[in-house]
Amino acid sequence: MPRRPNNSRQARALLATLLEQSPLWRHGYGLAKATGLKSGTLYPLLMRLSEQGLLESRWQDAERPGLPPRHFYRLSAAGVALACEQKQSDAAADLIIPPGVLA
Amino acid sequence: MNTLLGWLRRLAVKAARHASWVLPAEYAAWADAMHRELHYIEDDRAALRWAVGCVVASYTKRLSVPRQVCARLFLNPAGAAGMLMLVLVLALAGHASGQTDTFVPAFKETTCALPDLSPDISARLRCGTVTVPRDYDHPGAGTLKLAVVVIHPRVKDPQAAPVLFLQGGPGSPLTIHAARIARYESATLARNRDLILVDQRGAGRSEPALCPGLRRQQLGVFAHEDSPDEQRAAWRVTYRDCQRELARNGIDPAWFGTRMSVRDLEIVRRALGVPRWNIYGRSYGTEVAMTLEALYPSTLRAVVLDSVYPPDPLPLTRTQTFAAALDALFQACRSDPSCAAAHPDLAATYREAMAGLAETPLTLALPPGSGTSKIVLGPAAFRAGVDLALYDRPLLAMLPRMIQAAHDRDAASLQPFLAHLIQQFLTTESPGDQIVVECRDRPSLQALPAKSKPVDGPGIIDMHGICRDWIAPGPPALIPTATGVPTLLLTGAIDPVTPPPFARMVAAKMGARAHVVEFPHVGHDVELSTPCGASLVTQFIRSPEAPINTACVAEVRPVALR
Repeated sequence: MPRRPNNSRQARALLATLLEQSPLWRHGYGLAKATGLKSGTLYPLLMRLSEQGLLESRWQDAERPGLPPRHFYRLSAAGVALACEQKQSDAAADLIIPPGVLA
Repeated sequence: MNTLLGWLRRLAVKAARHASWVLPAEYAAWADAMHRELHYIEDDRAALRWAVGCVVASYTKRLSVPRQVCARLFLNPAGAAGMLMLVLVLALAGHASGQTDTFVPAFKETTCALPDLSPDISARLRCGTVTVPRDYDHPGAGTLKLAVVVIHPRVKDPQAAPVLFLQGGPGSPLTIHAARIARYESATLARNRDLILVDQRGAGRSEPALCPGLRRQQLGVFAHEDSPDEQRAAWRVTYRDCQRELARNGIDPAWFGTRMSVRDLEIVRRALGVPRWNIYGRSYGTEVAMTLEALYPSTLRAVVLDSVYPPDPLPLTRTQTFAAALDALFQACRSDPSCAAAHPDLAATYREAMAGLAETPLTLALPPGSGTSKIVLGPAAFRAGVDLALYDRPLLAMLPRMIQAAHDRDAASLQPFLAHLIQQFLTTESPGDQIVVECRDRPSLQALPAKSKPVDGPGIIDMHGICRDWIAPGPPALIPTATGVPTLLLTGAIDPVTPPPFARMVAAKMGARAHVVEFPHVGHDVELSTPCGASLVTQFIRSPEAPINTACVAEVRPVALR
């Protein structure tokens, strides 16, 4: 089966997490915690989604003085559309009885 | 200690700066973004891990522009210094996360408090517990006792590596069945070898008990709720109740997941003094087995994966796998003269049965000892029963009759089917363990409720979003890439939950040492379903390097539908 873009487990997890919170802006550390992805995996994904026009980003001033502005992310309209599409096909969670053994 | 942590923080900052240097100029904003997150991460170890990740991210991005890598890295002394820095940082990160395992694996023998024992079987069983940390990130903070039973063969080859049996579910009890397994199954799975049964954390006789009343409460949903919508809502409430119960009992779902179970099994192996073992994994157990194979391949001689359940994302939805198995049943009925005569259009009968139950659910009284005195059978509950029956060849054989009985609203005929299915439902899993493990393992379960649309009506159990307000995903289960361990994957063509595409996907990633054998006319649990499947397991465990003789597969008969 040819690899579809943004279809890796990590990309899907990131898109699903971003979709949940859409249109709120999320920062990198929060996304790492929510998806379980390490920064080394997360940021290349964020960069790629941004290049593909699926992700918007912006700087926001820190809430407390003395801290630098922080980068925040959310899905663009195109990103929301893709994430929704992936979620439709994720009806995998409509488990009737998840795998067990009738032993 | 403080000096060390201060040093960690400075190293993290240096690593983040290096990452910024490595990233191509057009990504400068991203470099800043990653670096600045450090200011918001209070824990120094977490900050170092973050910074190491930034270095990895920057090299990942850099390496996608290959021409420039050589110039910057190898012609520039700062580049070489950067590589050394990366190695140093990674080494320190490993040290900093406190990996020294001070946990001493030990098997504590106990008497076998198990059902169905007889003197000859008792003589072959060795029962006990192995203690593991509750939370591997905080090994000092509490332990769990796992139930372990070692079944000795009637005749033992002292050189032979034992077989570890990994059960499904997640959460299906195993050690409690030791006597039955010793009588009827151990010779197949572990001829002349020890067979090791382990109840994974949260399952069976192992600690902790996770919402022990949950299955009965879920059965109650079918007994009391009248409409599919009410049943679905009530089902979700049972999980919310479990969530509260775990919180009250101080049980943290983050202790669970396939990756935790795999670490437990490594402790069990060492506790039993086993240098190398084989694995027979069944259903969810295959997910544990393949993760173990990815992480500890040197501990494995051979692995059998029976009815393969891969990590997320699954290539097919549950709705799809169920529909395919049901279609296979209809097809089998058309091809079977006596079934075709009795049920000229079984698919239509099923559709009409579902429509009838949707219009007016059928309330069935059940005999004492059934677990509930009545069941309100609507279309979704009936479909759940059909799904359970599809797992299992003897039940599958009777499914046309069960569908006809639902169509005819023949309560008397339906009763024994349902009583049997309810017994299966009540005894084969710990749904509390199942939900925490699946939520930890599968990011796909985090998403908000989807409007999934099975062709024959809404699903009864909408698991979407159950995890979202409760349990964050943890480190995922794994499929080994290009495994060096001989691996046999068995899959039934009409399996309603783990069909052949799953096994093929896993085998493709595993590479040349993995072999898939697909069984026609077989559903879930190949080794139990057909003697041919059993013989292949025995053959493979005996000689995992030899070519597998699959001649008997062609002889597997279609289910004799009644």
